[in-house]
Amino acid sequence: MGTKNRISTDTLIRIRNYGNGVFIIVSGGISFILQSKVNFILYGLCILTILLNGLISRQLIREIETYSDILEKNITQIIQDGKMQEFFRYQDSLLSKSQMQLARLCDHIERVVGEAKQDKEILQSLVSDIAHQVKTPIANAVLYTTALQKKDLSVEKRTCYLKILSEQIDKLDFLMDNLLKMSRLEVGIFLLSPQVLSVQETLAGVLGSVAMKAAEKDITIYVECEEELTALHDRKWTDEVLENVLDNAVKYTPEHGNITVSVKRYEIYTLIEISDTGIGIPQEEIPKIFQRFYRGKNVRDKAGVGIGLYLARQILSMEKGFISVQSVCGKGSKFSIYLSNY
Amino acid sequence: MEDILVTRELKKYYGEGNTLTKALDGIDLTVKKGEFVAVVGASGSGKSTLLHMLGGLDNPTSGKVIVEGSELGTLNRDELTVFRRRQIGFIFQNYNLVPVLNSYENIILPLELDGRQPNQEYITKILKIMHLSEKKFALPSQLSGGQQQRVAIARALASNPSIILADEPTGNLDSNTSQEVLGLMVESVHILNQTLIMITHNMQIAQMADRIIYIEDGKIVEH
Repeated sequence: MGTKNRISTDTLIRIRNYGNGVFIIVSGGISFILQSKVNFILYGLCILTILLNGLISRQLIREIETYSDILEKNITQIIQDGKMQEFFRYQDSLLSKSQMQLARLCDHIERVVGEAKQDKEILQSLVSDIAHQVKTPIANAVLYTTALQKKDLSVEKRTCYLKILSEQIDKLDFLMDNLLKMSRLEVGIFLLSPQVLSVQETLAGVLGSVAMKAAEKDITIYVECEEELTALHDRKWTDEVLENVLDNAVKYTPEHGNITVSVKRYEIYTLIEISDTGIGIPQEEIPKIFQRFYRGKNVRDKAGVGIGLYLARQILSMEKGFISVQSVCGKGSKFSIYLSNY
Repeated sequence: MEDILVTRELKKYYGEGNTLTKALDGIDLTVKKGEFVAVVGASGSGKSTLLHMLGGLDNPTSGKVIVEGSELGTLNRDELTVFRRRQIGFIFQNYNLVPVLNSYENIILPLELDGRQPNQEYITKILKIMHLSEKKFALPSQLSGGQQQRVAIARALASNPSIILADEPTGNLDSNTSQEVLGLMVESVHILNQTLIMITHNMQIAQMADRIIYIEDGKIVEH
């Protein structure tokens, strides 16, 4: 294998010459020793071998020349217009194999160039999405500000309008906050630095902030987590993931319901399961809930913009983890968050 | 990104007259490089037939399959063999590992069949991603089901194919192991920019794909 690849044209010619020379010397020597009638046969054989040798090595040299010619041409073509003509795609030959590798190299270059372009496209689509999302609360704010400027406004109406106005401002604030986070994640301004940390400590931090909201609705949160469990994660960003999922659990679970958080370690991943006794997610919507700005049909009346789960999925994929969900409408949902063990 | 796989009006009919079965009935599909597509459908919906067509394991009755610009119908038998060896990585439900070879030997087998030298760094990287570094020299019989399937996935990745086709890859595994294997699979295709087309009937698995395609009676249906 090794020598076949390293052979050069010069070497081939040398081999032929040496081969011929050795044969002539050997057969000359033999004929000198024998000095008999078989001489002319040996001389004949000698000449025949020289001819045959020449033919074979000429053939070999020609093949190698074609091989390098075509590859050279291919490379020129790639430099000029990014792809090669004369591509012997699926043949069991050295040329075909080299060409396939060359094609892979093209792919790689294209990918590197494409990534820069893709980043730009992501940013563009983000900007247009943000504009779209911000439009409604701004339009509402403008509308109610105009209404508030009327002189003959009753006190109740004024209070009501002001309340709506402040709600819209809150929504804008929330939106901007999350959109910024998202755009920074998408274009890689924020880099996560996952480390092997205690899962219990991370959970404890998040549960503190969710407990208040849960208490307001008289929702009980059960937690099962062994103290010594660790997993690979960036605490700040994983907080974000857990908060989003737990917030949803509280939001979509009716009063007096339950939320269970359990942590188990498997061979490769540590699984954090968050299940609730909430309204559930319709089967056909499950694949869509992790998409940017997707909102379920049965939750249109609840506050939210459809960023949380999308963000959760992005963050997890950056720490070698992932998220999935199982749900039964009317019974509850179970989110499975997988963190890599190491 | 470029379209790595395109099918046009792909049809596969079995039998004739009254016994005519339309396994595939006009599939138009486009998959982009680096995409993870899940194909979902009941058994008998034609999803396995579709996978066989895409991998050049079976000929369509009519229609085209185009992989990286070359139409499979125009390749002769020898070319098709080389095509499968270099361009397609298969992952099956029942692992299909060679029992007398260890993990490493199983993984580099497709490369050796193609007469290529395995790139040690790349193989080490794949072993690491699939959490198999410590099982490099273990025989299949010494591995659990999940580990065996991870070796099979590493084998599909080793030859750096254009497309990885997986037919119910976690069908023989319990649900927790399935999720683990799938998590690694998604991570690996992401890191190595591989294109993955996976058949499944499990929605919890399908939801991890970038896109889900539903097949009913040999046709793609919208959801």
